[in-house]
Amino acid sequence: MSGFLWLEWRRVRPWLYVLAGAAIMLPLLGYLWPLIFKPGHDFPPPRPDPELGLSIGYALGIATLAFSFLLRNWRRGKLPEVLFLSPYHDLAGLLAQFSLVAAVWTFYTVALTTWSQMLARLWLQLPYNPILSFQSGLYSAGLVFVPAVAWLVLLERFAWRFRLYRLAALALVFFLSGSAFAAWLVGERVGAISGELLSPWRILQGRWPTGVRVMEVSQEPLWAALLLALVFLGWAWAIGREVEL
Amino acid sequence: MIGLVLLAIVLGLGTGLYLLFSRPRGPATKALILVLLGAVAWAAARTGLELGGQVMVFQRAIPVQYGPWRTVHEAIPVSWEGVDTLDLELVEASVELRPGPGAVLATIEAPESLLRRLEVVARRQDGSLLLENVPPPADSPARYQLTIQLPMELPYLEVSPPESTRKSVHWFGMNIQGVSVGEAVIREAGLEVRDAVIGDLSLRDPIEVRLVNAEIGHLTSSGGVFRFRVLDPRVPPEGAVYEIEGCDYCRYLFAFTGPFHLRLALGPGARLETDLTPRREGESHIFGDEALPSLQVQVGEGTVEVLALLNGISEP
Repeated sequence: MSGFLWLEWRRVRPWLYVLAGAAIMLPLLGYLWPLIFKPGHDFPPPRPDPELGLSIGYALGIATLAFSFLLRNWRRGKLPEVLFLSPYHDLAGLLAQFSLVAAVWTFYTVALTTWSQMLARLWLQLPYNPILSFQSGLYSAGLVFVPAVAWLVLLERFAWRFRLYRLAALALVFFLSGSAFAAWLVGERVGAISGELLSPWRILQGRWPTGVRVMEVSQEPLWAALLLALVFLGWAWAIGREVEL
Repeated sequence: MIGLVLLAIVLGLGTGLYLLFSRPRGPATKALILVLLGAVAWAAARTGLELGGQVMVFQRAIPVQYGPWRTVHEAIPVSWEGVDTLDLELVEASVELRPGPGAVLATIEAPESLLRRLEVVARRQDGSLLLENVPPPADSPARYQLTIQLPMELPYLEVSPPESTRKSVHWFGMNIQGVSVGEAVIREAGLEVRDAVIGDLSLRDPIEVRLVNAEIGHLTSSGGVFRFRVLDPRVPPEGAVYEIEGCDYCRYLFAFTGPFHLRLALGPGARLETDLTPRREGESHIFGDEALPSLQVQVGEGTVEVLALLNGISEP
């Protein structure tokens, strides 16, 4: 397992640097943007907008995630020894790949959210604000991005399944097409889960310029999303075992 | 957009069926192909139904609602020298008070030709500054927003609607941001205080109150507050004191991050919910930071008192 983790760390490390820089710079840029590019002829003067950086940050993160998966497979095609080191049916390899990418993503989301909300609020009320911001980042990461990473792992295994038959491109098109509609379906179902069984959690939601809102969110959709991620991983493992090496 | 959806459906169905009957057929792969095919088929059915509905039903377009705020056309600076009291009369306007060297009055003009422009008149009187604005027509849908720069320290601030428009349908709002006011009296207006310090805040029949990161030494509120929010206040060391009375059917939301002393004097129809004590029928919601020490709730005759306990001693 540690060997696979080392291998994955080597692949993920460049993206980690990019994402860490983006998580720091984008909210700051979004915050400073109106001050730099609309210097005060307007009345009342323009207000900084940290939400801009947050939106760009999420878009960039998703693009980076997808691109890192593409590049990873492109490099694999060029380097047969990497293929040799990481057989796809191996559970340890799969878990190492998922856990490192999911950890990077969670770190990125939490950093982006916490930093943006700190900027949006213009003051720090320790430890109340950072903790609530951290929770909201963790919640959104668990609800959306961890299942998304598991789904991408499944996509990779599925496309690889057809590679020997020169049908990988076809499988990729089919999977992406099906994913769009499955996300539609799953998103509706997960969003409709009512939070009546478990007590809700309080997280922070930053809105600019109206301020912040402490809101209650249900636990159940989060657990459903994490369970779904587990199902995707199990499925990816099962498909990986069917690959004829 | 619909073209892209149809293309994705056709591609998904075609490639999925082809893969289903191709050579690699493990149970896990086959199951995934069937699930994805099901998702595509479901999307096809749903898109077909929606397209059918669009063809058959003609819906009336909803008229576009334009934003409530009018454009600021002119700013008139007014000197603050020798003024330690500010009286504001509001008419269908939202005023924002910010720190600065002098009052900046905005003359605001509505783009619609039928609406009169909002004019603000400033008068000096015995060390105080009176700001009045000319009311727009009673049925005017326009709202105006103006910013007034306050000195960092203002001893007294009074905000009220003029007698002529009292009990009318007009709407008044006040935002206080980044300043320090000794005593403030707000009558019949919505109020938002943000990043500010107010020694003594008195609310008479306020519409809606939001205190965000505000340090209020003593707050008294009476009349028909229907929404009252305190978010992350900068509570003074001795604890903030809030007194609210005479309100039926009000909704209060409090989030405290420090010691506080809250005293609610409720009308006979008021309902109180709290999660500090076990939930009971008709209780309201008061919550604090989980890091706070334990809270003590005293329910009296028509009053509820909430005290934060510091080291086992109630404050204040």
